[in-house]
Amino acid sequence: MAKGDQRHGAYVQRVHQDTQRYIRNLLADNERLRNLYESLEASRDLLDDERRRLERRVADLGEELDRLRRDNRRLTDEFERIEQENARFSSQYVEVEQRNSDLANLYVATYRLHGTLDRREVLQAIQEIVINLVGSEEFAVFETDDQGQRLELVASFGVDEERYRSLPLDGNGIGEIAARGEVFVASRDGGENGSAGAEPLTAVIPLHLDGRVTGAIAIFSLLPQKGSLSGLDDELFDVLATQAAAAVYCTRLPTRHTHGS
Amino acid sequence: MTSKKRILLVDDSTTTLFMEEMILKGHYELDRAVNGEEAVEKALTQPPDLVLLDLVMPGMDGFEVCRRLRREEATKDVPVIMVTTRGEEQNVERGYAAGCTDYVTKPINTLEIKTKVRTYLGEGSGV
Repeated sequence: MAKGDQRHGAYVQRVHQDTQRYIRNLLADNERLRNLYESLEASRDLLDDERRRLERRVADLGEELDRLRRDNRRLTDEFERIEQENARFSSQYVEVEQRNSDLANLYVATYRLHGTLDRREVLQAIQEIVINLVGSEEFAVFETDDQGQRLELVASFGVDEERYRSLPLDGNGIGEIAARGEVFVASRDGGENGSAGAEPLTAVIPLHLDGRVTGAIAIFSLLPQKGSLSGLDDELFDVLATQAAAAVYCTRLPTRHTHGS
Repeated sequence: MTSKKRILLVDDSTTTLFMEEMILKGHYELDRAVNGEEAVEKALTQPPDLVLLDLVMPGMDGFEVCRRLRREEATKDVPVIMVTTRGEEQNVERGYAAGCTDYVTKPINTLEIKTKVRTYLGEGSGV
């Protein structure tokens, strides 16, 4: 019996030691797991903080993106507005430049007509205005005779002088048109196909002074590159109608003054 | 301060010269010649930066003026712009054959002359 009890006692002791060792291991594992848990808890807290930080950052970037989109729309609208304004200014600039050019033409024409009292130079100025400013190399310049019944040729370019040497003021063609006292433009005032009867006329500019027709300028054709008459040409015709008549009249004043004195 | 470019205006028409001066004054130094002989003399005495040249003139015409300018070292490279009422191809070709650089047709067109002058005298000419 004693040996059996000894063996039993040793067994119990061994089981007790094993159990204690097992418990120690469990406690160690438990401690390790507890530490691991605490570590993971801490990491989770950090990740939560990082997540919240990133969520805030995303929200901020979203707001920034919205702001930039609004700015982009505003700048695009502003750019379109400026482009339209630029186009308008460009158009106005072209109009102003054209008007300045027209005024320069009119100024030059007026200055040339009244820049001299020499009859030859006044007639030369009329011709130069028609050639260089209107754009014609086929025209004739007339003055009425002392009785006011005929148009006498005083200057011409590119036409048969004998054909137009002397025309009745009330006759057909140039004389009839001049007698009306109004500027005639065939394409606007002419008959069928913009013609002026039998005459190959482009325009007739009666020269008038004090309500009387004192002469006329007949333009038969335009330079090929000219094409057609423009608004500026109407204004040049008005200048010629009045100022050329006055300029030609003034060339006679020194003679009249001498004869009258 | 850079000096203005110099343009020689050649035409027997006082009206044309006056008009060209109206268009270009203030931006360039201008000189004028009323016939071919005077044009050649002035161009050789003081070579311009550009010549606006009427083709049809009594005496020495614009074609001959251009040929003479092209024969001289001082003026052989000066741009010469024909100013002509005769814009037909054969006349233009004749002008180019004489040594002209470009052309404008009459009646005088302000914008065309400004554009042509600016083309040959470069930017910064004030036009």
